[in-house]
Parts: sequence; C-alpha cells; structure tokens
Amino acid sequence: MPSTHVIDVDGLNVSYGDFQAVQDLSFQVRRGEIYALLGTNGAGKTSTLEVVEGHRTATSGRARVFGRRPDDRREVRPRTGIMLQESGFASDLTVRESVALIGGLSGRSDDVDRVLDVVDLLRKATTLVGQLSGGEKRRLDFATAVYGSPELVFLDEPTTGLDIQSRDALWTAVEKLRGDGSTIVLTTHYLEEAQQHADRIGLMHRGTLRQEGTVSELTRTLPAVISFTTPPAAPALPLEVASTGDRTVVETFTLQRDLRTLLAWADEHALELADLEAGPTRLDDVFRALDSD
Amino acid sequence: MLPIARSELVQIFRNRSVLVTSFVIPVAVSAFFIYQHDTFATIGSLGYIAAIVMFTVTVFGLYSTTVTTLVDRRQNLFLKRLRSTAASDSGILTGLVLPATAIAFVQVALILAVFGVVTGAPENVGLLVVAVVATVALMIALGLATAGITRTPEHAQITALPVSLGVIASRAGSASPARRASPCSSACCPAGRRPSSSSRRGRAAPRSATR
Repeated sequence: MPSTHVIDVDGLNVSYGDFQAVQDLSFQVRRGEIYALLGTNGAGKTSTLEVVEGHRTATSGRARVFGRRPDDRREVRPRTGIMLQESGFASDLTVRESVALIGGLSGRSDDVDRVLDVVDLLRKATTLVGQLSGGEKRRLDFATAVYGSPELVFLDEPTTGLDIQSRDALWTAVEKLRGDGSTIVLTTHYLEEAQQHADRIGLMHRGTLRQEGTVSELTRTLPAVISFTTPPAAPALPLEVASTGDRTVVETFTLQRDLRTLLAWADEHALELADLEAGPTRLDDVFRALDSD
Repeated sequence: MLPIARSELVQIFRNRSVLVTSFVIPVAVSAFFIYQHDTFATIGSLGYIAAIVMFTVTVFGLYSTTVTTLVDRRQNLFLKRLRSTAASDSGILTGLVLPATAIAFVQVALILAVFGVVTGAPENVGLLVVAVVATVALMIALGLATAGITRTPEHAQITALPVSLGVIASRAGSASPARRASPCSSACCPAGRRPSSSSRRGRAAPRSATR
C-alpha cells in the first residue's frame, strides 16, 4: 500500500555561514493535496523548497520525497515537475523546442502541443523564448512542470507576473492535475490564491514553521471583525467593543450570533449602521499577526 | 545528454556572435596561415603552422565557447533548469560541451586536411591525432576550470584572456628555432619538408654563441 505522505521533512536545518535560514523544520505533504508553504520575505521558504526539490543539501535533518532522497534524480525526477521561481530558459530556443527538451529530459512522455495548448502558448510554439513576455515565460515554465502529468508538482510563485485570465487558466490546470491525483506544493505571495486553492497551509516565519493546517484551522485562532460608522448618540452596544470613535469595531469568535445581536440592537433603536462590514478572519490577518510577532 | 547537445548546437547556429567566434575567426586565421605557409615556414616550420592553426581553432572555437556557454547557462539559470530534470550532472555537462567539441574536431580535421593537401602529408599522422585529441582535452579542461571562476559572460572576456594570450605567446615562442622540436611540430611537419637536424643545429648555434 503506497505511503500517504509524498514529502516527509523532519528536523531540517539549512545554514549559510552563520545565518540559519531554516531551523528544525518538520512537515509532511499528503498524497493528492495542495499544500501551500507561505511566509514573510526571508522566512526560509525558498531554502526549504530547494532542499525538497533536490537543488540544495540540508545542513542537517532529513527530507524524503516518495521515500527517497530528493537528489536521487533517477528515481524522483520522473515523478516530479518543478516550476522554478525564475525563468531559466535558453533564449535562442523556440517555445516548442524548450518544452520538448525539458519535458523529454524529465523522463516522462507527453504531447508537446497538448501541453502548450493547456497554457495557451500553442500559437507561440515557433517563437523564440527570448521574444516572450514575462507572463508568457511563466506559462512556459508551468508547461514544463506539468509535462507528462507528474505525481508531484512544485510551483514556486506560479502566478507572479500573470494577468487575471492566465492566473485563472493556470489554477484551472492545477485543479485538474489535483483531480487526476497529483500532489501540488506551492509558494505564493497571493494569499487569496492560497486561501482559495490550498487544502493545507504551512506558515513559515524566521526559518521555522509557526502554524500549519487548513484555512479554517488557521483563521479560527483569530477573531472575525464587525465594523461600522458609529451612529450619532448611539446607546450602549450589547457587545464587547474593540475600539470606538468614528468607527466602531467588534471582534468576535461567534460572528453569526453577534451580527444578529448587532442588527437587532440597530432595529430596536432605529439606527442606520453606515458602511457596515462583517466577515470571517482572512489569511491576511493570520499572516499579519505572524509578522508582528 | 544528446537532447542537450542537440539544443546547444541549435543555439550555436542561431547566435551570431558565437558563430563568428567559433567559425569565422578560426577559419579566417587558419586560412591566412595556410595561404602564407611559405612565409611562415621560413620563420618556423610547417609543423609550427599546423600547431598555430590547431591552437587557434581550439582556443577561439572550443575554449572560448565552452567558457561563455557554461557561464551563460549558469547565470540565466538554464543549468538549474536542466538540473531540475532527471539528467545527471555529467550528462548535462557533456551535453553542453559536446557540440563545441565536435565542431572543433571537424574544423581542425578539415583545416589540417587542406593544409596537408597544400603542403604535403604529415610525417606521423598517428602522433598528429594524439596531439589534436590532447589539445582538445586540454582546452575542455581549461574551459571548465575558467568557467568555475567566471561570474558572468562579460567577466569571461577577462578570465579567458590569460589562456588566449598564453597560447598565442607560447606558439609565437615556439617559432624560435630552439623550440621547434616539439612532438606536434615534428608530427605535423610534412614528410620530406621537415627541417634537417643539421639545419636546426645551424640555426641554434648563433643563439648559443650570444650567451
């Protein structure tokens, strides 16, 4: 029976001279899930990803991909697609030649034109890579990563520089890959993308994994917020108020109940709650709380 | 390895500056030396001309291309991209260097063949082949070493200079009569046209006398 963990990292440390980029990091990625590794700048995401991709040797600790060392290219790479953070293509090769070369060397087989069609680059198949825009190069990068539908795909900042249509198309392709059974590991600065697509999220800060879980598990640690413009001469609110002044802010872990209480209070006193905003805690809030540690 | 080599070959033929460095300069210089072989034979020997031709091709065509190719592929992360695949490091390196090496071999073979037709067959073909193979291996090794200490393709203009100048200087130095008895010079020297030992001694004598 195959292992449920595609990636297993235990006590990982990565140092650059005296600077310790990753400290005692442990996490697992389950088969078939989308796992987002998020963090502030310099949190150690790239170093971690480079070790797991097999591009960097850990100072200490253990990393396994499909139960093997990540740098065991012969065994691991045919099952793994990697989308790098930066382009790294030969500018004098055409789009089709680039996908055929990198895809072919991956040890998987696929139809190059089919892959180009997935990323909407088929009409640019004979264009030299040096003549592509930044967004087109990202799509080319994605094409080489998903060539042959690998079991595990690393996506390092996959949508940076993409327009909204290309981002949607890329996530559609990612969701299809996941539907076909692939495991996805991604890093991104677009938190709303991670919130929308990731099954689980690991939040890194200063080289360590501070929090890990589903979006709801991460956001339930912080209160939701209700806010509105304070009505003139308003009577006392039957809720605990976080701040008042021009704008009243209520923090709550029971959003629906407190919102109902608030609206009943407004009806009772015939008050209009101008600019009323209420919503669950977002990943952004968790991220900001992490950064303010 | 072969897909990488094929892609490198395509890139060489699509890159005008590499094409000029790898093809035009070595061929032009070699053509000049062959055309003026009578003049250079009086200064040195026909073997000396063959050596100059061989080093010109391998330095400009192989060594320079190896350095700039490896540094460029590393700097623009193409090397990292290749290392993201299932290809081994040795396979990647061989694939990157193979086209320039093959081109250099073909160039040297053709140029020396033309030289042989113009001036006569070399006295010891086997030794000449060994000399060519050794020179190509040396230039690849020097290219790999130079690429290791070169940060950017622009930086290669500086780091590759000592080898280029050193080769030119050493070959110019080998034109002096006292040094003409190198294996390559002897091997390349066409049969019947090799300077006699007496003439070598005769030329060396004045130098000794000046000490």
